[in-house]
Amino acid sequence: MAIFDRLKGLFGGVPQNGNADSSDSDVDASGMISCEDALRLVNEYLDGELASAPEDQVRSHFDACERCYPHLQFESAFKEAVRRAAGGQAAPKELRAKLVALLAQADTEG
Amino acid sequence: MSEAKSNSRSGFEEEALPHLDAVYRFALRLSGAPDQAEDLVQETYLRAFNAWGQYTRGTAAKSWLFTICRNVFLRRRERSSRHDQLVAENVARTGPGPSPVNPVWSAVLGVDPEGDFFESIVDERILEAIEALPEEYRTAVILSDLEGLPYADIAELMEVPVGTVKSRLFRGRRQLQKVLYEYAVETGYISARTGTDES
Ligand SMILES: [Zn+2]
Repeated sequence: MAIFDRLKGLFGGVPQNGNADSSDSDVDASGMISCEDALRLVNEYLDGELASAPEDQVRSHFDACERCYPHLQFESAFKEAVRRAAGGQAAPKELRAKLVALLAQADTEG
Repeated sequence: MSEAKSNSRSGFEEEALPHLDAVYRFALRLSGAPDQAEDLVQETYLRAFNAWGQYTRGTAAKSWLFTICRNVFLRRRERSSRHDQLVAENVARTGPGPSPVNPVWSAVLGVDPEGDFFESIVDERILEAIEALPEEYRTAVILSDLEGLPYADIAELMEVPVGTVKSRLFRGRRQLQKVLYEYAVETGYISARTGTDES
Protein backbone atom coordinates (compact mmCIF):
# COMPACT_ATOMS: atom_id res chain seq x y z
CA MET A 1 0.00 0.00 0.00
CA ALA A 2 3.00 2.27 -0.15
CA ILE A 3 1.71 3.85 -3.30
CA PHE A 4 -1.52 4.83 -1.65
CA ASP A 5 0.25 6.62 1.12
CA ARG A 6 2.38 8.42 -1.39
CA LEU A 7 -0.68 9.54 -3.28
CA LYS A 8 -2.38 10.72 -0.17
CA GLY A 9 0.76 12.59 0.63
CA LEU A 10 0.43 14.46 -2.64
CA PHE A 11 -2.56 16.32 -1.37
CA GLY A 12 -1.08 17.02 1.66
CA GLY A 13 -1.00 20.20 3.22
CA VAL A 14 -1.49 17.88 6.15
CA PRO A 15 1.06 15.10 6.55
CA GLN A 16 -0.49 11.77 7.47
CA ASN A 17 1.62 10.80 10.44
CA GLY A 18 2.33 14.15 11.90
CA ASN A 19 5.95 14.17 10.78
CA ALA A 20 5.85 17.63 9.29
CA ASP A 21 9.58 17.93 9.02
CA SER A 22 9.91 17.97 5.26
CA SER A 23 10.80 21.12 3.40
CA ASP A 24 7.81 20.46 1.12
CA SER A 25 5.34 21.55 3.70
CA ASP A 26 7.34 24.72 4.24
CA VAL A 27 6.67 25.54 0.64
CA ASP A 28 2.95 25.58 1.35
CA ALA A 29 3.34 27.45 4.59
CA SER A 30 5.32 30.26 3.02
CA GLY A 31 2.42 31.26 0.81
CA MET A 32 3.64 29.40 -2.26
CA ILE A 33 1.22 27.29 -4.24
CA SER A 34 0.21 23.90 -2.85
CA CYS A 35 1.06 20.51 -4.30
CA GLU A 36 -2.53 20.14 -5.39
CA ASP A 37 -2.38 23.44 -7.29
CA ALA A 38 0.94 22.53 -8.84
CA LEU A 39 -0.40 19.22 -10.12
CA ARG A 40 -3.53 20.87 -11.42
CA LEU A 41 -1.49 23.48 -13.28
CA VAL A 42 1.21 21.22 -14.64
CA ASN A 43 -0.10 21.19 -18.21
CA GLU A 44 -0.87 24.88 -18.36
CA TYR A 45 2.63 25.47 -17.07
CA LEU A 46 4.19 23.23 -19.73
CA ASP A 47 2.02 24.80 -22.42
CA GLY A 48 3.07 28.29 -21.37
CA GLU A 49 -0.57 29.09 -20.62
CA LEU A 50 -0.70 29.74 -16.89
CA ALA A 51 -3.64 31.99 -16.16
CA SER A 52 -4.27 31.61 -12.45
CA ALA A 53 -0.80 31.57 -10.91
CA PRO A 54 2.49 33.34 -11.63
CA GLU A 55 4.89 31.21 -13.62
CA ASP A 56 7.83 31.69 -11.28
CA GLN A 57 5.77 30.44 -8.34
CA VAL A 58 4.80 27.30 -10.19
CA ARG A 59 8.36 26.79 -11.39
CA SER A 60 9.82 27.15 -7.96
CA HIS A 61 7.29 24.72 -6.55
CA PHE A 62 8.33 22.08 -9.07
CA ASP A 63 11.99 22.87 -8.49
CA ALA A 64 11.64 22.51 -4.75
CA CYS A 65 9.07 19.75 -4.35
CA GLU A 66 10.33 16.24 -4.78
CA ARG A 67 6.83 14.84 -4.92
CA CYS A 68 5.63 17.06 -7.75
CA TYR A 69 8.82 17.21 -9.76
CA PRO A 70 8.46 13.68 -11.21
CA HIS A 71 4.97 14.56 -12.36
CA LEU A 72 6.30 17.52 -14.30
CA GLN A 73 8.88 15.21 -15.87
CA PHE A 74 6.19 12.66 -16.65
CA GLU A 75 3.94 15.13 -18.49
CA SER A 76 6.91 16.61 -20.25
CA ALA A 77 8.13 13.16 -21.39
CA PHE A 78 4.65 12.51 -22.75
CA LYS A 79 4.55 15.78 -24.70
CA GLU A 80 8.01 15.09 -26.02
CA ALA A 81 6.94 11.63 -27.22
CA VAL A 82 3.95 13.07 -29.07
CA ARG A 83 6.11 15.71 -30.68
CA ARG A 84 8.76 13.19 -31.65
CA ALA A 85 6.25 10.76 -33.15
CA ALA A 86 4.04 13.20 -35.01
CA GLY A 87 6.38 16.07 -35.77
CA GLY A 88 9.01 16.47 -38.40
CA GLN A 89 6.90 14.94 -41.11
CA ALA A 90 7.23 17.03 -44.25
CA ALA A 91 4.73 17.20 -47.09
CA PRO A 92 5.70 15.10 -50.11
CA LYS A 93 7.73 17.11 -52.62
CA GLU A 94 5.27 16.44 -55.44
CA LEU A 95 2.47 17.90 -53.36
CA ARG A 96 4.03 21.33 -53.36
CA ALA A 97 4.44 21.24 -57.13
CA LYS A 98 0.91 19.95 -57.56
CA LEU A 99 -0.43 22.77 -55.40
CA VAL A 100 1.40 25.45 -57.32
CA ALA A 101 -0.01 24.04 -60.55
CA LEU A 102 -3.52 23.83 -59.08
CA LEU A 103 -3.37 27.42 -57.90
CA ALA A 104 -2.15 28.64 -61.28
CA GLN A 105 -5.03 26.80 -62.90
CA ALA A 106 -7.56 28.21 -60.43
CA ASP A 107 -6.12 31.64 -61.08
CA THR A 108 -6.62 31.49 -64.86
CA GLU A 109 -10.05 29.89 -64.56
CA GLY A 110 -11.49 32.05 -61.85
CA MET B 1 -5.53 37.04 -66.49
CA SER B 2 -5.32 40.42 -64.85
CA GLU B 3 -2.19 41.72 -63.19
CA ALA B 4 -3.95 42.16 -59.85
CA LYS B 5 -5.02 38.55 -59.78
CA SER B 6 -1.61 37.08 -60.34
CA ASN B 7 -0.22 39.45 -57.76
CA SER B 8 -2.79 38.07 -55.39
CA ARG B 9 -1.72 34.54 -56.29
CA SER B 10 1.92 35.25 -55.56
CA GLY B 11 0.87 36.99 -52.35
CA PHE B 12 -1.16 33.98 -51.38
CA GLU B 13 1.64 31.57 -52.17
CA GLU B 14 4.08 33.64 -50.17
CA GLU B 15 1.77 33.64 -47.18
CA ALA B 16 0.33 30.12 -47.35
CA LEU B 17 2.94 27.80 -48.84
CA PRO B 18 5.45 28.12 -45.97
CA HIS B 19 2.84 26.35 -43.81
CA LEU B 20 2.47 23.43 -46.18
CA ASP B 21 4.36 20.97 -43.98
CA ALA B 22 2.33 21.89 -40.91
CA VAL B 23 -0.98 21.73 -42.79
CA TYR B 24 0.00 18.39 -44.30
CA ARG B 25 0.93 16.99 -40.88
CA PHE B 26 -2.37 18.20 -39.49
CA ALA B 27 -4.29 16.68 -42.41
CA LEU B 28 -2.40 13.45 -41.99
CA ARG B 29 -3.26 13.21 -38.30
CA LEU B 30 -6.87 14.05 -39.00
CA SER B 31 -7.40 11.62 -41.85
CA GLY B 32 -4.87 8.97 -40.90
CA ALA B 33 -3.88 8.22 -44.51
CA PRO B 34 -1.31 9.95 -46.75
CA ASP B 35 -3.48 9.95 -49.88
CA GLN B 36 -6.42 11.42 -48.02
CA ALA B 37 -4.14 13.95 -46.41
CA GLU B 38 -2.86 15.11 -49.79
CA ASP B 39 -6.39 15.43 -51.00
CA LEU B 40 -7.35 17.38 -47.93
CA VAL B 41 -4.39 19.71 -48.34
CA GLN B 42 -5.25 20.40 -51.97
CA GLU B 43 -8.82 21.29 -51.16
CA THR B 44 -7.67 23.39 -48.21
CA TYR B 45 -5.32 25.44 -50.35
CA LEU B 46 -7.84 25.87 -53.14
CA ARG B 47 -10.50 27.05 -50.71
CA ALA B 48 -8.04 29.30 -48.97
CA PHE B 49 -7.02 30.80 -52.30
CA ASN B 50 -10.63 31.42 -53.26
CA ALA B 51 -11.22 33.10 -49.90
CA TRP B 52 -7.97 35.03 -50.08
CA GLY B 53 -9.85 38.27 -50.52
CA GLN B 54 -11.43 37.89 -47.09
CA TYR B 55 -8.17 37.07 -45.37
CA THR B 56 -6.78 39.89 -43.27
CA ARG B 57 -3.06 40.22 -43.74
CA GLY B 58 -1.04 39.97 -40.59
CA THR B 59 -3.37 37.49 -38.88
CA ALA B 60 -2.06 33.99 -38.35
CA ALA B 61 -2.18 32.32 -41.75
CA LYS B 62 -1.32 28.98 -40.20
CA SER B 63 -4.36 28.98 -37.92
CA TRP B 64 -6.50 30.11 -40.81
CA LEU B 65 -5.32 27.20 -42.95
CA PHE B 66 -5.84 24.75 -40.07
CA THR B 67 -9.39 26.03 -39.67
CA ILE B 68 -10.19 25.49 -43.33
CA CYS B 69 -8.50 22.09 -43.30
CA ARG B 70 -10.50 20.93 -40.31
CA ASN B 71 -13.76 22.18 -41.78
CA VAL B 72 -13.10 20.33 -45.02
CA PHE B 73 -12.25 17.21 -43.07
CA LEU B 74 -15.36 17.40 -40.88
CA ARG B 75 -17.63 18.04 -43.84
CA ARG B 76 -16.23 15.06 -45.69
CA ARG B 77 -16.57 12.86 -42.67
CA GLU B 78 -20.14 13.94 -42.23
CA ARG B 79 -20.83 13.04 -45.80
CA SER B 80 -19.45 9.56 -45.34
CA SER B 81 -21.41 9.49 -42.04
CA ARG B 82 -19.12 7.56 -39.84
CA HIS B 83 -21.49 6.78 -37.05
CA ASP B 84 -19.04 4.67 -35.12
CA GLN B 85 -16.81 7.66 -34.58
CA LEU B 86 -19.68 9.82 -33.39
CA VAL B 87 -20.71 7.12 -30.96
CA ALA B 88 -17.16 6.88 -29.68
CA GLU B 89 -17.09 10.62 -29.11
CA ASN B 90 -20.28 10.55 -27.12
CA VAL B 91 -18.99 7.76 -24.95
CA ALA B 92 -15.80 9.68 -24.33
CA ARG B 93 -17.73 12.81 -23.46
CA THR B 94 -19.78 11.13 -20.77
CA GLY B 95 -16.79 9.49 -19.12
CA PRO B 96 -16.01 10.03 -15.44
CA GLY B 97 -14.98 13.47 -14.31
CA PRO B 98 -11.31 14.37 -14.14
CA SER B 99 -9.37 13.12 -11.18
CA PRO B 100 -6.76 15.54 -9.86
CA VAL B 101 -4.06 12.88 -9.84
CA ASN B 102 -3.19 11.51 -13.24
CA PRO B 103 -4.15 7.80 -12.95
CA VAL B 104 -1.43 6.67 -15.33
CA TRP B 105 1.14 8.51 -13.32
CA SER B 106 -0.21 6.85 -10.17
CA ALA B 107 0.16 3.49 -11.86
CA VAL B 108 3.81 4.06 -12.72
CA LEU B 109 4.75 5.97 -9.60
CA GLY B 110 6.58 3.05 -8.05
CA VAL B 111 8.45 2.00 -11.18
CA ASP B 112 8.79 4.87 -13.62
CA PRO B 113 7.61 8.11 -12.02
CA GLU B 114 9.21 10.33 -14.65
CA GLY B 115 7.55 8.52 -17.54
CA ASP B 116 10.68 7.21 -19.24
CA PHE B 117 8.51 4.54 -20.83
CA PHE B 118 7.08 7.12 -23.25
CA GLU B 119 10.48 7.35 -24.85
CA SER B 120 10.54 3.61 -25.53
CA ILE B 121 7.32 3.59 -27.52
CA VAL B 122 7.76 3.54 -31.29
CA ASP B 123 6.38 6.42 -33.35
CA GLU B 124 3.90 4.22 -35.21
CA ARG B 125 2.24 3.13 -32.00
CA ILE B 126 1.94 6.71 -30.77
CA LEU B 127 0.47 7.83 -34.08
CA GLU B 128 -2.05 5.00 -33.99
CA ALA B 129 -3.08 6.05 -30.52
CA ILE B 130 -3.46 9.68 -31.60
CA GLU B 131 -5.56 8.67 -34.58
CA ALA B 132 -7.82 6.59 -32.37
CA LEU B 133 -8.77 9.62 -30.30
CA PRO B 134 -12.14 11.28 -30.95
CA GLU B 135 -11.61 14.11 -33.41
CA GLU B 136 -12.21 16.91 -30.95
CA TYR B 137 -9.54 15.60 -28.57
CA ARG B 138 -7.17 14.72 -31.38
CA THR B 139 -7.33 18.16 -32.94
CA ALA B 140 -6.74 19.88 -29.61
CA VAL B 141 -3.76 17.65 -28.77
CA ILE B 142 -2.18 18.01 -32.21
CA LEU B 143 -2.57 21.76 -32.30
CA SER B 144 -1.22 22.22 -28.80
CA ASP B 145 1.43 19.54 -28.36
CA LEU B 146 2.60 19.35 -31.93
CA GLU B 147 2.06 22.78 -33.40
CA GLY B 148 2.38 24.73 -30.17
CA LEU B 149 -0.69 26.88 -30.85
CA PRO B 150 -1.93 29.00 -27.93
CA TYR B 151 -5.19 27.87 -26.28
CA ALA B 152 -6.89 31.02 -27.56
CA ASP B 153 -6.04 30.19 -31.18
CA ILE B 154 -7.21 26.61 -30.79
CA ALA B 155 -10.45 27.89 -29.25
CA GLU B 156 -11.05 30.21 -32.18
CA LEU B 157 -10.22 27.50 -34.67
CA MET B 158 -12.53 24.93 -33.06
CA GLU B 159 -15.18 27.56 -32.29
CA VAL B 160 -15.37 26.70 -28.61
CA PRO B 161 -14.47 28.57 -25.39
CA VAL B 162 -10.92 28.32 -24.04
CA GLY B 163 -12.22 26.26 -21.10
CA THR B 164 -13.46 23.63 -23.54
CA VAL B 165 -10.06 23.51 -25.21
CA LYS B 166 -8.46 22.91 -21.84
CA SER B 167 -10.82 20.07 -20.99
CA ARG B 168 -10.40 18.49 -24.43
CA LEU B 169 -6.64 18.66 -24.05
CA PHE B 170 -6.87 17.22 -20.58
CA ARG B 171 -9.08 14.32 -21.60
CA GLY B 172 -7.27 13.69 -24.86
CA ARG B 173 -3.88 13.57 -23.18
CA ARG B 174 -5.08 11.27 -20.43
CA GLN B 175 -6.70 8.95 -22.92
CA LEU B 176 -3.50 8.85 -24.94
CA GLN B 177 -1.38 8.26 -21.87
CA LYS B 178 -3.61 5.38 -20.83
CA VAL B 179 -3.32 3.69 -24.22
CA LEU B 180 0.46 4.19 -24.29
CA TYR B 181 0.80 2.91 -20.75
CA GLU B 182 -1.18 -0.22 -21.59
CA TYR B 183 1.03 -0.72 -24.60
CA ALA B 184 4.16 -0.34 -22.47
CA VAL B 185 2.78 -2.94 -20.06
CA GLU B 186 1.87 -5.28 -22.92
CA THR B 187 5.32 -5.08 -24.40
CA GLY B 188 6.87 -5.62 -20.99
CA TYR B 189 8.59 -2.28 -20.79
CA ILE B 190 6.92 -1.67 -17.47
CA SER B 191 5.23 -4.22 -15.27
CA ALA B 192 1.66 -3.40 -14.38
CA ARG B 193 1.07 -1.92 -10.97
CA THR B 194 4.42 -3.03 -9.63
CA GLY B 195 4.17 -0.09 -7.31
CA THR B 196 1.36 -1.68 -5.32
CA ASP B 197 3.49 -4.72 -4.54
CA GLU B 198 5.93 -2.73 -2.54
CA SER B 199 4.35 -3.17 0.84
ZN1 LIG C 1 4.47 19.60 -4.52
